This record gives sequence, C-alpha cells and structure tokens, in this order.
Amino acid sequence: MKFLKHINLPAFISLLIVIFFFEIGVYFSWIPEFLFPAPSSVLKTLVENKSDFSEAFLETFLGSMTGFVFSVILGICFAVLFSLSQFLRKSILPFAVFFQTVPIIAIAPLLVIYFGFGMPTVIASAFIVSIFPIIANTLLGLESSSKAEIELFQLYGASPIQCLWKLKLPTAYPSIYAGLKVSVGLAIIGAIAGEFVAGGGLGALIDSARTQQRIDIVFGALGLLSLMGLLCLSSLRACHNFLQKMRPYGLNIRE
Amino acid sequence: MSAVLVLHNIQKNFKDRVVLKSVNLSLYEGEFLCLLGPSGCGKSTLLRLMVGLESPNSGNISWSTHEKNFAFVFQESQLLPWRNVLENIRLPLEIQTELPIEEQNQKVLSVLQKVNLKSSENLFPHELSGGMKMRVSIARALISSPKVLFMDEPFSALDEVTRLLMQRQLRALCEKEKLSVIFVTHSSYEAAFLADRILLMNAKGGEIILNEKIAYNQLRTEALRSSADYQANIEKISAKMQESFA
Repeated sequence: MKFLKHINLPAFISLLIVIFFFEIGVYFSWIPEFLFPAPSSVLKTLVENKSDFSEAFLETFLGSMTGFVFSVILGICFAVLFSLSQFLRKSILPFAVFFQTVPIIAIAPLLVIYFGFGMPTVIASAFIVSIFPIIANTLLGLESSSKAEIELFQLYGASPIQCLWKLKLPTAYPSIYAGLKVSVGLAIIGAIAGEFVAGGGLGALIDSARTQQRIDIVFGALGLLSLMGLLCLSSLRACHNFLQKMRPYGLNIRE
Repeated sequence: MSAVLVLHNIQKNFKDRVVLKSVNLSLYEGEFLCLLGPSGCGKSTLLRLMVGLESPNSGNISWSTHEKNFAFVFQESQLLPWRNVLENIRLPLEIQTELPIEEQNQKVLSVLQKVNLKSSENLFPHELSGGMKMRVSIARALISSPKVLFMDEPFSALDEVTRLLMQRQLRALCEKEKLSVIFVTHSSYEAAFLADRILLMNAKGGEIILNEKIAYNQLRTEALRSSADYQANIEKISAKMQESFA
C-alpha cells in the first residue's frame, strides 16, 4: 500500500473517468471507433503485440535518453563557458537560438543524410530539440548569484573557477533542474520526430500504423509515450528529492 | 597605539553625486570604531572603499606594515543554503588555504565555541534563527584569524533582545581576540554601547562631523545601558545627529 502514497490520486481518478467515458462512448457508438478506439481494444492490441511494442518502447527510450544525456552534458558545458567568457557568449549564443526556433521535422531529413537511418539520427534529433532549454536555464541560474555573494567570494580572493564551483553552479541548481524537466520531454518529442524519418522505435510504429489506418496501434504507442514521459519526469523528481535531502539546494522549488 | 588603517582625503562620487567628501580616518590597533550616521550618508560606501569593493575618486587608503588581514561581515548573513554551518564557516579556508580538511574542521569547531554555537555544525541555514545565522557569519569572518573586522550593520535585521545579546557578546569577543573593528550602524544606542570611538557622518555631505572617544568606568554589560554615562553619550550623539539634519 506504500506505493499509493506516491500516486497523484486526483489525476489518477480523472484518467479513470476519461477512460470510462471513452469506453462507454464507443460501446454505445456515441463516438466513432475509427476516430477513437475503445480503451479496452487499445489494451488488447498492446497485449497482443507486446513484443513489438516493448522493443519499440526500448528503442525510443534509448534514443531519447542518449540524446538527452548529450544535451545535459554539452548544454551545461556551453552555459558554463558562456558565463565565463562574454566573447564566447556573444559570438556563439545567438546561433544556439537556431536549435530553439527551427522545427525539428524540417531538419530531420538532413540528419538522415548526415547520420544515416536508425539510432544516430534519432539521438541527434533528440539532442537538437532538447539542448536549448538546458543552455538557457543553466545560464540564467549561473547569473542568479546575488551581488553580495559574488562580493563575498571576491573578498576571499576566489578564482573564477572556485567561484563557479562553490557558488554559481550550486546557485544555478534550481534553474538547471527546471531546464532538465523541460528538456526531458522535448528529447522524447525529438526522438519521435527523428524516428518518423530515420525509422525504428515508437515513431516508426506510429508512422506505419497510420498508413494501415490502425488507430488502436497509434493510441497504444501514444499511451506508451506518455508512460515514458511520466517515467522520465518521476526519475528526475526522485533524483531531485534525493539531492534535496542531502543538500537544501533551491528550497523554493522543493516538491 | 599604532594605526592599522589610514584613510586620507577620500572622495567618492557616483556620477555627479558626491557621496564622500574629504574623509580622513584612522583605525588604531585593538580599537572598536563605530561609523554612525543616517541612512544614505555614505557609511557603507566608506566601508566598501576600505575593503576594496569600491575605488575612491581621489585620496588614498593605506594599511600598516602587515598585509591586509581583514574580514567582512555583511548586513545579511550571506550563508550558502546548500552548505551546513561547518561548511559555511570553512569556506574561506577552502578558498585561501591548502590545509587538510580535518585541520580546517578543527578550526571551525574552535571558532564555533567562540561564538557560542557549539553542536550546531551540522545544521543548515534554514534551520537557524536570525541570531544564529549572524553568529555563523561572524564565525566565518573569524576563521581566517583576521586583525581587522569590518561589519556593515550586522544586527539591523535582528529582534531587540537578540540584538542586545549580540552586542554584548561581540564586544566581549573583540576584546578577547584583540580585534580592530569598524562597525557601521545608524543606531546611536548601539554605537554608544559598542564603540571605543564614534565617527558621526553628516546626513548630506558625506563628511565626518563628530569624532568622539567613548570610555566607561564599568564593564560593557547590560547594566551599562542604564548608567548615566551611557545616557549622556547617547544624548550628545543624538543632539549632533539632529544638528546634521537641520
């Protein structure tokens, strides 16, 4: 019964109501089944094709998380460099906006040309979509130390690296965490967009189901994608709670 | 007594506004000097000039023979929320020295005793009261064994009872450690209790209008506050402050 404590009960009840509504709606033909399949038939499809779904799920999960990890590492490194050097910031940051503004679906075909079909394109796509929020949020956090805190370190004669390591990065933690929460979802979106053109994973499964008019498979895949998003956000939250227990970083965002 | 720090003809402007005009000041060894004046008169700016956080437009600041060995206590405690008391106090040692961590921790524990904060080393700042936070901030300043302590209205955010207690303990601590202190405040009561000498700054011009030695025939305990000498000093300072506003 312990796990019940961690369930968001109002959200769970809302979900059950929606599922019940659709089930009844399709059963009494109030909702056309070719547009919205009955939840029971989606579940049946998921069970019948569980090996295909689980393989696709793992593939998408691996692609999106690899892209996400790359964007976390490189995003934080870029933000740190930008915070240390105004020259780098002014010369590179405006181009980073490219990652934020250009729709991934427009550059995904290019990625296939550069990286070929399969996982590398999916990872690149997830990376491109998810890196900007990490750069932007980390940079914002690195600049959020108060004037008095900076002066305190100045009085101690701290080097820029000491100031970064002992003050700016810990101060930036709440912003970095906020960036991670946005980016992890975007990485999944990026991976799906990459799979639409490069194949593999839930993206390819959705694409092929679309051509066969198998709306139950599309809904099954969407359900799994939602589950993946929830899993990623819950893992992030668990890491955050663990860190908060060890160190009270950014008490204002304690969840 | 020899001067530890001498300021000669200091002028500071912020754009066209003159904040400090021809300020001359000396701090002597072991002296507790209170810099008193109304808000906005330039006391904090003067303190920031002394520690090098601002540069004067003209004049010079000279330290005595030994190197600038000072510490600064801000108005707010400025504790880092992700570090516990021990780690907050240890911060200057981590930055400035190569001492082994065990040795640093030993130093922290001995400083904690000096500020009456035994057994609090594992607490985080959000678990401390305002008074305790300020004690930690003072302990952090003392950890590098400074000769001069600069304090910028450190007790202004504390409640009355804690403030009076902190004043007594600070005075006793500075006497014991033979520290030279420059203490910025806008309270004549605080200055009259703590200071060996009071410098009163003009409300408008950033000039020193009173340089008054404060001495008592009794110890600086709570009983001092009801003594005639103390009251007389406060009246004298208050009258001068009123004059500066007129």
